[in-house]
Amino acid sequence: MRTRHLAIGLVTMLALLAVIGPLVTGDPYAAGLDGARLSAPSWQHLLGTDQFGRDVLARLGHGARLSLGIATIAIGIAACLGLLLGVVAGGTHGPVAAILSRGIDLALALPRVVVLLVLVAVLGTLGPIGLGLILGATGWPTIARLTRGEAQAIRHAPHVTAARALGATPFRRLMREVLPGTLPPVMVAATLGVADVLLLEAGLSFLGIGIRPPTPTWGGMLLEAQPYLASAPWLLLAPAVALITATAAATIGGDVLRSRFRMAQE
Amino acid sequence: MPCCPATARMASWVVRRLAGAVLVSIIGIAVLVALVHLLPGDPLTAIVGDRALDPASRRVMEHDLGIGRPLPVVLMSFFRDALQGDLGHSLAERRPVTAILADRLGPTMLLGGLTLLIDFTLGVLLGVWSALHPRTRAARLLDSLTLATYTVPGFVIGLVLIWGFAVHWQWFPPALIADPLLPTDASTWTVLIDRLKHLVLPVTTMVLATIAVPLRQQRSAIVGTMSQPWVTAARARGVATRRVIWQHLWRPALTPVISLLGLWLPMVVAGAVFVETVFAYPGIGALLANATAQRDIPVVIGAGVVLVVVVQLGSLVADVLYRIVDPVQREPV
Repeated sequence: MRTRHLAIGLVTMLALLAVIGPLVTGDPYAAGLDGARLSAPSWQHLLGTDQFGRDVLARLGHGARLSLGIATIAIGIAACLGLLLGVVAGGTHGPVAAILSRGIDLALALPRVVVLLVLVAVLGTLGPIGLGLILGATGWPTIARLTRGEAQAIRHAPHVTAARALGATPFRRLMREVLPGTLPPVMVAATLGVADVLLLEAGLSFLGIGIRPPTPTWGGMLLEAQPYLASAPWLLLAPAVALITATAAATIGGDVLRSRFRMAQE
Repeated sequence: MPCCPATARMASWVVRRLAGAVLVSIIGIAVLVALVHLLPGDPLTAIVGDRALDPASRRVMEHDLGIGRPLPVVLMSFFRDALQGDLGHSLAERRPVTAILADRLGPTMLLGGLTLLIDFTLGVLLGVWSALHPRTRAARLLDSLTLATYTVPGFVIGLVLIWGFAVHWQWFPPALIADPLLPTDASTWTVLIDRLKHLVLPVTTMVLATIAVPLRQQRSAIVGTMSQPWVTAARARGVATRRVIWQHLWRPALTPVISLLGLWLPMVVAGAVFVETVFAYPGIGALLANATAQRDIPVVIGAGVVLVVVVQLGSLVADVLYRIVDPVQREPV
C-alpha cells in the first residue's frame, strides 16, 4: 500500500514539474543579465543558476517535458512492436512464427547500447522525436520475448480451444483470445522499460549525442555540470535527483502493477 | 570408463554451442553493417564537409563506408577483410581501425575483469551473508544501498564520486588511466601505484552500478535452497554449520548466479560506454562514444564488433560453466 502511494506521489511530482514547471519558472534559455552566474540556490532561483546565469529549475522543468515525452514515444513504439511480433511468434505456428522467433532471439543478442550508437552515428543529429523513435526501435526485443512466452502459454488454454470449437478464425483467436492475455505482463515490462529509456536518453545526451545544447535535458545538464563540480555542485545534484526520481517512479510503478495483476489472478 | 560418454557428450555440446555463438555473432555484425548501408544519412559529407579530398583517400573512405555498392557485396567484402584482420580505416584519425581497437582493448579488459572479479566475489559473499542474516539492520541497509546504486545510472555515480573523491578531497585522479606527467624513468613501483590510483574510481563506479544483480540473485538462491530437504537432513545429521552453509547451501545456489553471467555482461558493456566516458578512460566503451560523436563509422562498427563478440563469448562461457557446475544439466534427461 505504501509503495503504491510512493509511486503515485513521485509520478505526480514529475508530472507537475513537466506540465506546470515551465509555466511558472520562466525561460530556460534566458541568460542572467544581472550577473548571477553559478549562483547557489536562493529564493530568486530556487535551484540556483548555471554558468550562463540560466535558471536551473526552469531548465529542469523543460528537461522533464523532453525526457518524459521521449520516453513515452519510445516505450509506445517498443511495446507495440514487441507485442505484435511476440504474439505472432508465440501464438501461431509455422514458418512465419519460426522466423520471427529466431529474429527476436537474434535481436536480444545485440547489446542495445551498441545498436543505438550505430544508429546515432549513421543518422547524425536527432531531434526529440527521432531520439524517441530509435529508442523505441531498439527496445522491442525484450517485450517481444516476454509476449512470445505468454502467448505460447495461452495458445493452448481452454478458452482458446473453446473459441476454436465455436469456429473462430485463427486471426480472431490470436487477436481476441491470445493477445489480451499477454497484456498485463507487457504493461509491467513497459512500465519498467520506461526507466531504461530514461537512462539511455539521459546517457546519450550526457555523451553529447542525444538532444544537444542549448536545449535543456537532464542528461545534457549533467554534461554541462561536469566542469563546475567544485564550484557549483547543485548543477550536478538537480538533474541527478530528477533522473533518479523518474527511474525510481517507473521501477516502483512496475512493481506495483505486477503485484496488482498477481492479486487479480489469485 | 563411465566418464567417457559423458565427456564426449559435453564436448559435442560445447562445439554445437560454439557454432551457435559464432553464427549469432556473424549475423549480428551483418545487421550492424547493414544498418549503416540501408539508413539515410551521408556520413562521408558529415565528416569531410567542404574540404577538398584527394581521390585516393576518397576511394578508401567510400570503400570503408560501402558507398555506391549493393548490400550483399558490402557484406561479403566486410567479412572477407575482417577475416584478414582489416576493419577499415578511421575517418577521424588516419589509422587502421584494428590498431585503434588493439590500443583500447587492454584497458577495457582490465576494467571489466576487475569489475567481474569484485562483483562475483564480494557480491556473492554479501549475498550469502544477507541471506543468512535476514531482518538484521545491516542486511536491510545493504538492501537499500544496493537498490539505490542499481537505480542510479553509472555515469551519475561516476560524477558524484569524482565530485567527492577527486575534486573535493583529491584522493584519486578524476580521469585517464595514467598520469601523463609521470617521468618516463619512473620506477615500476611508482607506475604501478599510479595505475592503481587511476583505476579506483572507475572500478568502484562500475561495481556500484552492477553489484546488486549478482548479490540479489545469490541471496534469493540461498533463501530458496534453505528449505530444501537435504539441508534439513544435513543439519539433522549434525553437520557443522559452516559445512552446511558452504557445501549444502552455497554449492547448489551457485548455479543461478553463474547463469546470470550471460545477462550481466551486456549490462557491463552498456555501463562501460558511459562510465569510461565520464573518466576519460581509454577503453572500447569511450572509443565507441567518441567515435559516435565524430560519426567515425568504421570505428563505431569496429567497436560494435568487439562488444557483440564479447557478449556472445560471455554467454557461451556462462552456459559451459553452468553445465559443468550443475550435475542435473550434464545427465541426459
